[in-house]
Amino acid sequence: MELLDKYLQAVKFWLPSAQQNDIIAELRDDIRSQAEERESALGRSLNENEWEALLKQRGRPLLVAEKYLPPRWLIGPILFPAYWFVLRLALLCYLLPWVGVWIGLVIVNPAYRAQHLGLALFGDILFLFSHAVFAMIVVTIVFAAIERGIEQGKDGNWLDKDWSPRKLPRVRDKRRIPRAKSGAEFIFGTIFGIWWLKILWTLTVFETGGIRVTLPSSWHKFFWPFLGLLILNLSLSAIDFARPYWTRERFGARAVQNLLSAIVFFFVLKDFAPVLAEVPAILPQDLTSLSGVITFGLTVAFAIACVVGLINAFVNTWRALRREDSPVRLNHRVAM
Amino acid sequence: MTHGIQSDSVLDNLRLELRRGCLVVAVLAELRTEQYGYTLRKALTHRGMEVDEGTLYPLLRRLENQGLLVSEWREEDKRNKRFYRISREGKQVLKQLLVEWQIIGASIELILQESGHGTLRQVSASS
Repeated sequence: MELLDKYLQAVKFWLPSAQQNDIIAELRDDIRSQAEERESALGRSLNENEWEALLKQRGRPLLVAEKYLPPRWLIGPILFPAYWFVLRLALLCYLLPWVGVWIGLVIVNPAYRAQHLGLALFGDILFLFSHAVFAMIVVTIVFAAIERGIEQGKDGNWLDKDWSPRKLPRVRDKRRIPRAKSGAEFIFGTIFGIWWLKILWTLTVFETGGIRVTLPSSWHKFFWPFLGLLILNLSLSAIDFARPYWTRERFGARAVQNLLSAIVFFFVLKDFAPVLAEVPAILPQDLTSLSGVITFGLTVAFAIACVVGLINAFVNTWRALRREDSPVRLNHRVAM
Repeated sequence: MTHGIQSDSVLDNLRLELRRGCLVVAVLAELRTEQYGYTLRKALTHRGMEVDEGTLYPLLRRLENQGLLVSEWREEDKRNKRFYRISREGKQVLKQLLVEWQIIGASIELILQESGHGTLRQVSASS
C-alpha cells in the first residue's frame, strides 16, 4: 500500500488544488477495486512486484493527472500558423542579413577577419544566437498575450465574424511588375544616384557649420562604375514601367545588374579607405573615433549591399532559368 | 512493412476518434442505472466498449460539469465510492444523440448502397 500512496501523492501534485482530494479519492477506490479483483482471483494479497506492475499499467503520474486538466496551450491551434509564419519571418529577417554581413566583412576586410576568426568566432555565434533567441522570446510573448486575450474574450468566435471574401487580398499575378514599384525605383534611384555621384565627384559627404566629412581621393575612381550602374538601373526601371511584365530576359538583365552591383561593392570594400572628419573644437582622439564610427557604418552598409546583390543575382538567375510555363504539380496522394 | 505499420497506426487513430464520440453515448446509456466508476468500466468492457480509466474518469467529470450526470459519494463494502447516474437533462441529450446515431447509421447505409458496395453488414463481413 505504500506504493499506492506514493503513486497517488505523485498524481495529486499535478492536479488543480480544488479537485485534488476528490479525484484522488476516486482514483484510490478504482485502483483498490482492481487490486481486490486480482487478489480474489489469486486467492492471496498482491506482493510488491504485483503492485508495481498494476501501477505501472496505469501510467506515469504526470500523464494520469494531465487527463484531468483542461487543455491548455501557450499558442493555440488558431494562432499557431500565424505565430509560426511571424517567427520564421523574424528569424529570417534578423539572422540572414547579419550572417551575410559577417561573411562579407570576413571576406573583404582583413582587419575584421583577423579579429573575428578562431575563438572569437564563438563569441560572434553566441551574439547572433542570443539575439535570435531574444527575437523568438519577444514574438512568443506577443502571441501568448494575444492568445490569452482570445481565451478571456467573451466572444470566442471573433475570428469567424466580420470577414468577407471581398476583403481578401487580390489574386497575385506573379508575372506582373507593379508600376508603383518601378516608378518609385526610378524616382528614388535618380535622387539617390545623383546624390551619391556628387559625393564621389566632389569627395565631400557632409559639410555644414564647420563640420566636414570627406572621402579620400582614392574614392574618385569609383565614380564611373557607379555612373554605369545608375544608368543601367534607371534603364531597367523605365523598361519595367513601360512594359510591366516579367520575362525570362528581364530576369536575366536584373541578374546581370545585381551581379555588377555586387562586384562594384566588393571592390569598394576591398580598397576601402577611411573617411576623413573635420570638426572644430574637438579633441583629436574624439575626431579619430568619429571617423572610425562613420567608416565602420559605411563598411557595413557596403557589405550588406554586396551580399544582397549576390543573393538577388542568384534568385534572378534561378527565375530566368526555370520553366515559367510548367504546369501546377498536384499531389495525387491527397486526392486518393 | 513501414507502410503496413503506418496504416495500422492510422487505423488505430481513426478507430480512437470514432470510439471517442460513441463512448459518450455508451456512458450515458449505461448510467441510466446508477454505478460507480469501476463497475461502469467493467460493464462497458463486458459489452465490447473497452475504455481505460484515464479516459473514463475525466469523461465522467466533464459530463457531470455539463449537467448530464449527477454523482454522490456513498459508503459501500466499507469504502467510500462515487456513484454516478444520468440526470434529467442527460436523458434528453441521450435521446437526441440516439436519434443522431440512427441518422448517421442510415446515411452510411445509404452511401454504401448507392455506391454499389452493398449494405453495411455485407461490407463489414467482406473486409
